[in-house]
Amino acid sequence: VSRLASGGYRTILALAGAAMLAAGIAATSFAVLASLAWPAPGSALAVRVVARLDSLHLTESVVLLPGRPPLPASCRVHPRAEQLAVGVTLHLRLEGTRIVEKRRATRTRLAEVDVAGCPRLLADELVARLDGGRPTTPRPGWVAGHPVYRFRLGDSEIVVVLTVARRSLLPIAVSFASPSLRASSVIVSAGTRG
Amino acid sequence: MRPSSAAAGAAPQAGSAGDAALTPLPIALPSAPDAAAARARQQIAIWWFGSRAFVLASALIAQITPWPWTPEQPSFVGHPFSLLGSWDALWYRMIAEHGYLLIPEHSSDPAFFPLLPVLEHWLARAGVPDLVSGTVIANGAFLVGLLAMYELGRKLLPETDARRAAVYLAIFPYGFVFSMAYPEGLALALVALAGVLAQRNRWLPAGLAAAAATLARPEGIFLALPLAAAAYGVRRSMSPSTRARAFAAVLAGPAALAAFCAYLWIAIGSPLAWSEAESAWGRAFSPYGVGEALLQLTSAPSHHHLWLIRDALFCVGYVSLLAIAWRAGIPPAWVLFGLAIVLLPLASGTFTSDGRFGLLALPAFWGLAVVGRNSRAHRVVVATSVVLLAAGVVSLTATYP
Repeated sequence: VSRLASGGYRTILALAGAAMLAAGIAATSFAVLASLAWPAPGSALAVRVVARLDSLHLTESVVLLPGRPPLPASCRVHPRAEQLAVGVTLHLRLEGTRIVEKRRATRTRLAEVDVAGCPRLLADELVARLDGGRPTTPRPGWVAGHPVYRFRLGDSEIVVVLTVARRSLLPIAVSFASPSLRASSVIVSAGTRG
Repeated sequence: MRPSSAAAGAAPQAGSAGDAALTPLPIALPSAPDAAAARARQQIAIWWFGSRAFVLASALIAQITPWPWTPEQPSFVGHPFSLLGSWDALWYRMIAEHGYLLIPEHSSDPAFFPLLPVLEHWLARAGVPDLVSGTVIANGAFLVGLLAMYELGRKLLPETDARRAAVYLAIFPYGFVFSMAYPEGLALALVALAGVLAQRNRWLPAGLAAAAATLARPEGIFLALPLAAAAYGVRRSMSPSTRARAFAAVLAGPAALAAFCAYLWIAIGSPLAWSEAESAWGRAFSPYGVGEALLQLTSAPSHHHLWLIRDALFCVGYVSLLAIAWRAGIPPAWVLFGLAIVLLPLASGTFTSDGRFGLLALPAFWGLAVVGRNSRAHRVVVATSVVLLAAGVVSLTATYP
């Protein structure tokens, strides 16, 4: 009996020792991982905005281009693409950030597409910035007395700014600025899934 | 490709060819004399050097030649070896630069395990460019992996088989991945080292290697199987403190995975972010995963996804070689380790990249070495591997491994 008890005691000691060593290995692993960079400030909020944009299936906006009357635009999300209509003449299909069109898109066309408020396009542009580690820190501001966040999208040459409501994170405006063209939009309605 | 007369060393021994190919062998044979082992290590290093030079040359040629051209093809001028830093290597570099971030429903980086990016991050601090550090780590670790695999193999099989297995892995068609800024080279080295150290009853270093292997690739967690079997085999001769270290070595992989989950929880708010990110990449484990993988395979031709067939063929090949390894006397725990690596990914609903995952299934290469005891089979394996290795490098211009 005493030999059995002694064997059991040894096993418990061995298990306790193993647990302590395994905890030490886990702690060392954690310390190694903690040397990686932590998420950039603002990226968590940007991720929430992406999720909000992903939840939309329809947006309607008014596009403002210099020298042209305001154009109504609507963007409908389908499983593999987005269907964009600007005014009565322009109908486009978007796959991610790509315009499915035979002709090469002009700068004006790019501006129209960027500001039309297509949720998946905006989400993908924000994701591209997040994945690329480019700054996504939102700038707080006010629009018509409502608190908003502004997120910078686009690249170094073209600056696209997405404005979202601070409380609901719904998109409310987009602006586009390139060296040769400026455009903007006001998003008047956004339909969520379900 | 024959870098030197190493083939003589890798060739089957007289008397081991032919009808003995599938005969079960004793599990442990006396070690080769030190001089023979040193010669074998030298030969393996030469095969490593030759095969890596061949992969690098193929990558250069693939980048220079305009065929098969794809929009993703990196330019030769930008970086002569950028093909080896493409596809997932870009994600590892992003983690090294910016850390992790989970973007639900979108492809994001927690799907990629952290050891390689941590090392890239450290080397970047020392001024080494990411692409350079990633490929140097991968290729250097691959040499360590081949040598450690040989050491482990010669405890389980005749010395010539162990040597041949290392040579076959050096020139294996999917082995171009070991030259990419991917973590497979690192994981291979750590898996084999864990096995060698456990064989020598050095349990704590074995546990550390198993933990690091798990941080390199999730397959490292399966090392718990062979480590547990090795510990069980010598349990009666263990002192209580040795027993504690052996237990810890078995738990090391799960402990490292738990640490990764804890880190993700604190850093980005989700302990299972790696699994969530996997589902955005089209991998979600389910009870019907294997069925879905088979279904996806049958529809691959109509969905222009013929590369899937390549991975399925490798999967079948690995399983066959594991069966041969088992019949040749490789311990069942190691065979199960190989099977887990090759078959469990199918439960995520796809064969995608199974050929790459199987590179860590060491017993499959011991099985291939058993096949290569026949001199004609040996020549076929070497010739076919070299041709397919070059084709594999060129395929990087069209698809991910």
